[in-house]
Amino acid sequence: MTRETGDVTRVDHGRTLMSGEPLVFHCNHYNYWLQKTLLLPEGLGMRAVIRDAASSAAHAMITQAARERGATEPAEILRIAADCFSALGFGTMDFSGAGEAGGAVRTPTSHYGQCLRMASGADFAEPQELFDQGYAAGALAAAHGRPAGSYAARSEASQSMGAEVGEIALAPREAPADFFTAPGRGPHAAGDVPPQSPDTNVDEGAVLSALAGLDLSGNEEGLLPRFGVILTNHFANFYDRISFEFVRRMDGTGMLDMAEELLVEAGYRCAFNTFGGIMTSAEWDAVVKPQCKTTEDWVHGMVAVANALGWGVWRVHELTPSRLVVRIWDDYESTGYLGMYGESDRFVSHLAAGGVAGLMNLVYPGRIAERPTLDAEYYARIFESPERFEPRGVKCMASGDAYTEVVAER
Amino acid sequence: MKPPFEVERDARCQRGLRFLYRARFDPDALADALDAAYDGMVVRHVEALGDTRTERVIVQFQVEYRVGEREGEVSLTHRVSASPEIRARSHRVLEDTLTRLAA
Repeated sequence: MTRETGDVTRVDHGRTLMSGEPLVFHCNHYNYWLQKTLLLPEGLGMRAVIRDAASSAAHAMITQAARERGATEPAEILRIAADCFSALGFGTMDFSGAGEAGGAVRTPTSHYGQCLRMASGADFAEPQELFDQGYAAGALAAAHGRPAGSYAARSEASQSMGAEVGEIALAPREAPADFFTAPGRGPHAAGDVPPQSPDTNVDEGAVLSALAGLDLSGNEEGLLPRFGVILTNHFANFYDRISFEFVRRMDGTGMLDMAEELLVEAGYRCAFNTFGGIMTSAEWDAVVKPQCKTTEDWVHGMVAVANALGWGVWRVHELTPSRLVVRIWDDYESTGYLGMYGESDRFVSHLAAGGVAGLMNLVYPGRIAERPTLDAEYYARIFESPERFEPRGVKCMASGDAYTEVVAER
Repeated sequence: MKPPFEVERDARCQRGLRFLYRARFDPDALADALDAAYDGMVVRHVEALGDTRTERVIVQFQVEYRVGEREGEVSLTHRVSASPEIRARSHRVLEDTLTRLAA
């Protein structure tokens, strides 16, 4: 399968860029849970935030990808946009019904339209393809040399509500003056990261080089089933924008702490499903499990795999059966926050915090090595258990620290 | 008669899409037999991970069979756009093939 996408660049600290936009892997369950969380409080205007974040990141990537490929005609640029959409695991997008005056974009397959339903277990009452809408709008704007916010998008047919094919209507509009601009890679840590902890039998370098041999791009449907989950290789700036805008808008209603707790909860869900899926997968059995001689090795092994997800470099600083300290260089939440808002006076790495505690919950009370069935009942049992781990953000790159540090304890 | 395989349905993020079959089979023979069952209209790809060699047999827009990920296990993952009839056929092809190889 030949696709014409933007240039993929590996940069320091485990980060990957496509045409300058940082990418991170996340699964359908996290995408479902995060979006559900953000849309839960009514009146925050989060649907538009999600659409616009997608539009901005897509516009930046596609504009740069077109330059890299020497594409100048709208049809060529839209072909690249469709190929990128599929390569990153978002589905398939057909721009043949859209021109500079707008029109209809179809999605025969869609991660947000079809794969969130597997996570939720049911159809939705409202379209979930907000990302697709934003991507289509950003792509059309990039193809016609217009600013990122130049098209309004709405769902005409939603697969998340049962339609066979998704359809998005695009109409030109005046780009809002304060339209969000994706900051690209953003500020990042300078200098070297300490080596992997010596207190483990897991060879992180061997894990990373084995995983580097896997094809982690979308299949012919533009979807990416792997590790027992359905992955997307998603825009870090998209996740950052929608998460931080949610926190900012919740702060405006006096519910700042609750907003942050909800994002940590989304991190737990990510750990349970993505980490849990990975740690019970055939890929884990082939590469990591043979190196795991102790329970602690399971934590080190998952940290090694996490370092292939584009989330920054995680280092286990301290690990006992009741406490884990992880230091992270260039965690994508910090770098995104710095690029979008500047320095923060609060800890912002909520996904990382939920991920660190979630990992401990899987390994210790969750006994993941025994391959339990990772269903909703099991989630409730281990994440609500008195033995559960809870995270504390101690340091944060977004607040000026050299690295982000999360402590998980029980 | 009891079939010569067991099936486990994925109850998680690939709910309704992914099924694990456990049986006794020779991985190469199974991959070749699946290929033949579709008259060669498949895409085959070998994935090496550590000491594990997985043969992916893909019928585009229908199904992907992964043979050899774990000993005695073959996974069947439907493509999202596969119709109920195609999904039923994908199961039938694998089950018939496993039954034939076990005979």
